[in-house]
Amino acid sequence: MARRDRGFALATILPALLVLAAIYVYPLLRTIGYSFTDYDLINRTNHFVGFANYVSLFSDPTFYTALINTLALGIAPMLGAFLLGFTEALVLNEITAGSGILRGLVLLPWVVPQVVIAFLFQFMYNPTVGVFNVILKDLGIIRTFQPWLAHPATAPAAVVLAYVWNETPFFMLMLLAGLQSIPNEIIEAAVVDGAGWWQRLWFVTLPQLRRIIAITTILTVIWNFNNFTIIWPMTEGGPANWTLTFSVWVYRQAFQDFNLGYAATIGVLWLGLLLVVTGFYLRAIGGRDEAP
Amino acid sequence: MRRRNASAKIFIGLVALALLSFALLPIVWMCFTSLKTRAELFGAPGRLWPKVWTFSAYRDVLAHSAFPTYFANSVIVNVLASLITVLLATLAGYSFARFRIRGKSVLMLGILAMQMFPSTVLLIALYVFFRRFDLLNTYTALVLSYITHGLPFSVWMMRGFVDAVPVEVEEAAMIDGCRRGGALLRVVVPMMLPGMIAVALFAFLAGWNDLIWALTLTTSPAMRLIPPGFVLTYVGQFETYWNQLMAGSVMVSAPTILVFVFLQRYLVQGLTAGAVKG
Repeated sequence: MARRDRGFALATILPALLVLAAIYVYPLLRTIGYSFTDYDLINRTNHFVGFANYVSLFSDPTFYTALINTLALGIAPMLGAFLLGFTEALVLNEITAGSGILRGLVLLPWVVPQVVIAFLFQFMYNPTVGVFNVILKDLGIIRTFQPWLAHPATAPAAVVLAYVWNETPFFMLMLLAGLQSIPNEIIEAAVVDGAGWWQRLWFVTLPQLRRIIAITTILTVIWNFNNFTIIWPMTEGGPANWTLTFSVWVYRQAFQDFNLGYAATIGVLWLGLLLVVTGFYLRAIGGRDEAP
Repeated sequence: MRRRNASAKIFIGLVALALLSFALLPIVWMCFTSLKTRAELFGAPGRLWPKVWTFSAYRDVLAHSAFPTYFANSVIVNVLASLITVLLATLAGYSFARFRIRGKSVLMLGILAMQMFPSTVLLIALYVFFRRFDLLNTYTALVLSYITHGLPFSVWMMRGFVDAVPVEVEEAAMIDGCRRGGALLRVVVPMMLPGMIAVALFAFLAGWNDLIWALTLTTSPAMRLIPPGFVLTYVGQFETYWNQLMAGSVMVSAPTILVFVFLQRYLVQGLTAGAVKG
């Protein structure tokens, strides 16, 4: 690289790296530091306590509740959205007339702001005026209106449905692009060999989409792990912690109880979990020199 | 494959219809609710079409609530953050694409891993930082935080877009006497415009979805953005004015939907280009 180019590269890359260092690396290191203290903004304590936070975290039953909820609310919506989005992609790939408009319309749930999704679903679940209650009662499935978000058995499922609605278009979009990149000859060869629809799907289409399926499913799980915008307005982690995820728990500890040391400890462990999943993602995109 | 009988066509049509309804009915429900009176909302909760069509919910939200302030704040913060994200990502993406830099692949992987970090965790330390330097309730803190939503992924996207621009074009410009910066500005940037639009859109949509930063970094109503505005106005209320809430929701969704309708092909290209090939 010529010297002039070296200066140019430095001048163009450095601003982005400095900003990333300020908003990612600095807070990350500080958070790890806080996790070894009893930093508390209300009691005004800030002493080094060693691994005390980690010890109490592992004996805190809420930790296991949050862990299970985070995993469940991360994976369940992904599965639902994947199945629906894949079906959408297959259908759109078959339709020739008006598929552009159709694609635009089914994409809409993906661009509706998440805070709107949270309130829209809350409204539809509402125990006095919610349309779900009206429909289910008319169909004879329930006898009286139910408070779906206030009941431990139904609240997690109700939240999952909102996530699925939001994420389905993302799968459709990516998988449709994948389907369209499969060379026609491969499919035709399978037809000539007498493969039926399901056989083509299982033995030809799915293997061709392996990479994109890995990327989209892992990304979605990570996004769900981190989601706060949908879940907080809908349940705030309730009823009785049935939808308490790490992101909600850290928020409560840090910004409602101002117990920053403990919040940081939860955050560090959660980040460890995320790094494992991110590792899978990086492997799926094939490591070094390809765009995600 | 191409020869299909009538029953298969009908089946595909029915599935398409079901999926379309699933996607659109909640949005339709939101729009119609925003046009109802409060009396009708409680009197006939299952009715799809408004019996009496009225814009009163919109009028109430616009004239008698803090919604316009929240909306303006959201636009200011998100537009500024998207512009800065595009600028930083374009510069860095260009050099990451064009130069051999030691440790580049590790750096790029590190940047991508950042996009997976949970905001909540970053927020703990940044909250303390902003608080110490009296930056809570300022656009500075909000814009800086909102860059977190898009910057790492944007660097990756821009790098991919630059890769797609042939090197020869620039070299020709440099032979004609342009310096590298000039070549970037005059030759590469016009060719990357679709990519820059995609990045801006991605950053804008990501920021428009944020709740936790805006909720934590602002306490004064004058600095509040829409998502915390909604939460602090409507969560936990005994009787919610759903028609007003839905009117607000329609107005909050409109910008992202409009922007998306006009620019979707850029975003779709940007998101799918890298993931599909290879």
